[in-house]
Amino acid sequence: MGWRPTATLARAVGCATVALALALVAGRPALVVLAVPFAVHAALALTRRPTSSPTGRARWRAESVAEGQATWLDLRLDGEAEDVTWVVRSSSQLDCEPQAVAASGPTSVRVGARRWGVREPAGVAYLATGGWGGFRVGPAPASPGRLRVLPAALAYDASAPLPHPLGLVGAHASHRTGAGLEYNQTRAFASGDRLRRINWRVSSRTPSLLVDTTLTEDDASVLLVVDLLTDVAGRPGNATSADLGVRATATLAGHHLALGDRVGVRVLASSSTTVRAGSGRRHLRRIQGVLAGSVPGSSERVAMPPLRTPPGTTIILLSPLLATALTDALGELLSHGRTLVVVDTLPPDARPPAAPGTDPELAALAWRMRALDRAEVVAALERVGVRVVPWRGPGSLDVVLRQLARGPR
Amino acid sequence: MIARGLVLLGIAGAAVASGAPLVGLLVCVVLGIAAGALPDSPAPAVATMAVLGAWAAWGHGLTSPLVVVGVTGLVVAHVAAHLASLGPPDLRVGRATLARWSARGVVLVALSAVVWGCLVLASHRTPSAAWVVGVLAALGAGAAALVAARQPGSS
Repeated sequence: MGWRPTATLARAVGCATVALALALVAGRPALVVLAVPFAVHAALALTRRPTSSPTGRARWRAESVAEGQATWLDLRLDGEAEDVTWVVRSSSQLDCEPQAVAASGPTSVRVGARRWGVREPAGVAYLATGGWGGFRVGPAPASPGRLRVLPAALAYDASAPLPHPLGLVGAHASHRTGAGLEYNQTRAFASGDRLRRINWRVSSRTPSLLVDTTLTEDDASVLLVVDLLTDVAGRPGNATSADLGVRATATLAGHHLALGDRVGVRVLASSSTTVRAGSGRRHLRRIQGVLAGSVPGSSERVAMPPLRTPPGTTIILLSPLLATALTDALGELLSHGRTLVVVDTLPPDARPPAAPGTDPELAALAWRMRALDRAEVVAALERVGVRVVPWRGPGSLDVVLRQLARGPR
Repeated sequence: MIARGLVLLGIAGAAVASGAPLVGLLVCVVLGIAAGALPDSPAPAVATMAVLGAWAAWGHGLTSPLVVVGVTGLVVAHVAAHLASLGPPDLRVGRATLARWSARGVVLVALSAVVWGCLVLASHRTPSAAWVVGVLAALGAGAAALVAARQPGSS
């Protein structure tokens, strides 16, 4: 890719020549004055021809960004050039502003992320111009690579504890007595009890010493299984079932990790991915990264590697319950005897688009039949004791988890 | 979009300054519209040459100050066409680039005004010498520009 003359240089040379020729032919000295700026510009541009080819570099300022937020695409030209024009075209999921900018040095373009996933602009190209606009190189592509758009974690607050806290430290009241804040019972003093546990107010009214006991506060283990085998849209612009599933998974993971729980994630899609249980902020970033890289897609059979979850793990399946291939996965999840809760991520206004040329009445009838099948799956799950709750944001799981926590106690 | 408008404005201004009749003006304006729409094509060159043709056919004499108006219009159109040719219509030109090219336009107009002044002075004394001075001035300006361009650090 080499430097080539611009239309500006051709215009300057051509107009200077024509003006001087007309001045001589028509005998009009005024045309000599009109030729001067073009002649000077052409002379300066010809002497400023660059010798080496520049290279444009585009880099994301951040490796990842949460959906709904924005980052910057830094644009830089390495090499000899006076001005450089950058064109960064918005894609369906990335908004670039400005989309075309001419600058004489490094510049930046603001890129807003609309939807989670691995995204890139529709096109990034540069056009370098030499001194006095005489020569140019490009347009040449400059790929910045892909931007990982993390699913937005919604503001989520749940008051219900998880059913089987079995860890060592955490925020859930366990079934074991020990040092904690959750009141358990008042009983007679026994050897080994701490003196500060004595309830003096009650003991003063009884012949023996009584102590208050508390429940230990432990962490729990959660496995979030998100079904991206189908992606059903509602009204245009509204969240799809995959959007709801991924955002709900990120939200639940963030909530439980903030409580100190261990969280694992399994993504059921065209290529399934598993994140082993872990805790901490870095683990949340890992989960968000895996969710962002997931591509909704169907599969004949869901690859379901053996579950290696500790006893007491609560499994939360987030699914629109539409994929037929999900049956195997449900059987696998149920066979482990773990507590299973299904979060229904089908949008309330879901109506899958009909193929072009399909009779709308026929499509509506097919969707009604599919909805009946789905209702049968929900009923079957509830018959085997699996609660199905729709995703409604904060507190969606409170009632179910509270009932499950109360059961074994 | 402003740069594209300035292309038309410069062409039209230079054509009006030439004193061309209405038909000539219309031709220049139509070509100016084409130049504004396609700044990275030969259209601006064709429009500029049409204005030069108008100056050759109907233009004022050397002593008229409208010569400076004409050269200003042509420089405005030339610089604006270059800035517009840097990218698509939604291009946002950086402040430094805009300032540099504005300064260059002013310098080119000033240089032309100096040449015009020299030619006018020379034509008052010895009209036959006007051509010699004019050509010498143009060559001198070109040579000075070349020398300035080769000096390191000059822009």
